[in-house]
Amino acid sequence: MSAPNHAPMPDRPVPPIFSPGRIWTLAAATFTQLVRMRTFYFLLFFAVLVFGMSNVNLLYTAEQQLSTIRGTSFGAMWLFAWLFAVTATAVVIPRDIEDRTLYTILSKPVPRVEYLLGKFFGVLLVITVALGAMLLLSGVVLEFRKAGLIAETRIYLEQSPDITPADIQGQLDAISNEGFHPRLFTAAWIILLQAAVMAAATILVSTFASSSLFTIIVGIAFFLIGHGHRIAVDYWSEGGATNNWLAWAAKVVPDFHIFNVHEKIVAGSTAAPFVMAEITAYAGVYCVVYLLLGWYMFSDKEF
Amino acid sequence: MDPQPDIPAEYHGRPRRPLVRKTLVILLVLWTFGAVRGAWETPLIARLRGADLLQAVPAQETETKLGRNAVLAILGGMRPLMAVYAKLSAVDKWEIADWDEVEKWYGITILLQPEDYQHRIDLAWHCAYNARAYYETSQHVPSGVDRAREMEVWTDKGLAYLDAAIPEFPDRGELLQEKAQILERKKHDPCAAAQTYRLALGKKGVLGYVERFVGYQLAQCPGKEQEAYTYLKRLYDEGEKNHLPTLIHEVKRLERKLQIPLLLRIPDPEPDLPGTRNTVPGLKVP
Repeated sequence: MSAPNHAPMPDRPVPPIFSPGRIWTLAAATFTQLVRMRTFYFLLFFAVLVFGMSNVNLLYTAEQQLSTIRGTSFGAMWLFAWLFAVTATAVVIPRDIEDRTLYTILSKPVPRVEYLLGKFFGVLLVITVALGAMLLLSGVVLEFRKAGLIAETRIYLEQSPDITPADIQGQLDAISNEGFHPRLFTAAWIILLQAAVMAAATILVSTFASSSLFTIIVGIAFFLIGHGHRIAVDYWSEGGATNNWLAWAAKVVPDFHIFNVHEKIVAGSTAAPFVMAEITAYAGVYCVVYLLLGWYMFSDKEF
Repeated sequence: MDPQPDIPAEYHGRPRRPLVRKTLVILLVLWTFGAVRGAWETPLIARLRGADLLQAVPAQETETKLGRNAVLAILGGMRPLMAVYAKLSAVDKWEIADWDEVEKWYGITILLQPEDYQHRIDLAWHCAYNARAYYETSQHVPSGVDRAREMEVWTDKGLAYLDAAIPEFPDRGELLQEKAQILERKKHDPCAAAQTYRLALGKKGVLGYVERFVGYQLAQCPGKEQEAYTYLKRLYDEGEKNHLPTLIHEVKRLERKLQIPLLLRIPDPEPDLPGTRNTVPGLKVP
């Protein structure tokens, strides 16, 4: 057996097996990489949509106007979050291979699991910043519009001699309840959780996919099936073998139905802290499972 | 031709794990995870539905429910955006008085947002007020059309949409309130209107004036004058907050009609009434 051509340096510090610092560095680099892809241009579309919706009046009552602004804002946030989670995650690893950054990173003492986690958290960081900006923008528009609608309604109602002050206050309170509310943070959090699960699932797919396009298609299909399979299984609940086959196949796909909670929160329901904790844990378990499987696939992948 | 070199069973000291085998392992793990998580998911979904955090699709018929479920599942958070488009189309058709199209686009809006009862109210309002008014007054109605019949058809359609929606939203009073208004203003049935306003009392979204509306309609209902007087007098006696022009007018009218002794009559002078009664600003009355 031949001796190594260089002896290890005795005072050289041994790199830690697992380093949050390294993960953060990779996440920050992924964030920069995605920002340079002009990701945040979506915010312009979002701003136009929200300002547009705040000026559209389709015979809406004051409450409806505000709930429509809220609904469309969160609809756009939901769409951006999961779609971005799929497309960005599908792109980041192939882009690193293309740019040969991956070889540089993996030639360092960076475990592959840290590389995957860095990519995952980098994508989540972009989604978090974008969701935060969208939430802020929709909050400002909602409050601005709410103030205007309350003033208009007050003047209108006060003209009627048959309306009591209590009735006026009741009407104004109903409008006020439709404005920005802290519960909307929980709705945004659930959208982020769903995006995190999608990003983790897409990382898993991208570890064995041969192209970004394949990963994106599989990711989107995964999302749609995850949303619809419970309905399909219920529909064929009396289908005997068909039902058994569907129920069997559905076990491979996550049930995204649970994340639809954000819709009811946007509409006015409030989620208790323990409910939020349970949904967070639910998403966390999904992320851990998918990332572990992704690591298993990626651990000895040759490039 | 050189023979293909054998691929070593071990590569860089690690055993080779072919892609197919790894994929099968992943599928097996995912399936096992799916089997295990069911024990968590099913009760969690039940709890979320119980806490009104997951959409329980409102529909009576199985087919409608299935369609709405499918839309919920496939479109997810996109539904509000698409509902705005559908409603925009409905308003567009309203401008050209194409009532069948208005109905169709509102149907799509409701399919996209079945949880928003306000769309049902809007559809009923279009049918019972706008379409009715069109057949009553428009010069563009073809000469062969039976205007009176069409007016009744569209009013009944409005009521039918509300009747279908009320069981889906048993806690919301706005639907009953809208139905009562149509019964009052378009069907001229104060007895049914009073009954429907009464059903709305205590439900969500119903403001204080509906309590007075019950009395106003009772006062117009033949044979219910004594009940109406007792009801309205009770409201009057509750305090200054209810000493409103219409209420005073109705109480004084009933006092005269029921020949209530002068000493028991309310002291207020006959108020100057607005042109229409029971008209609340903010309600959409054409």
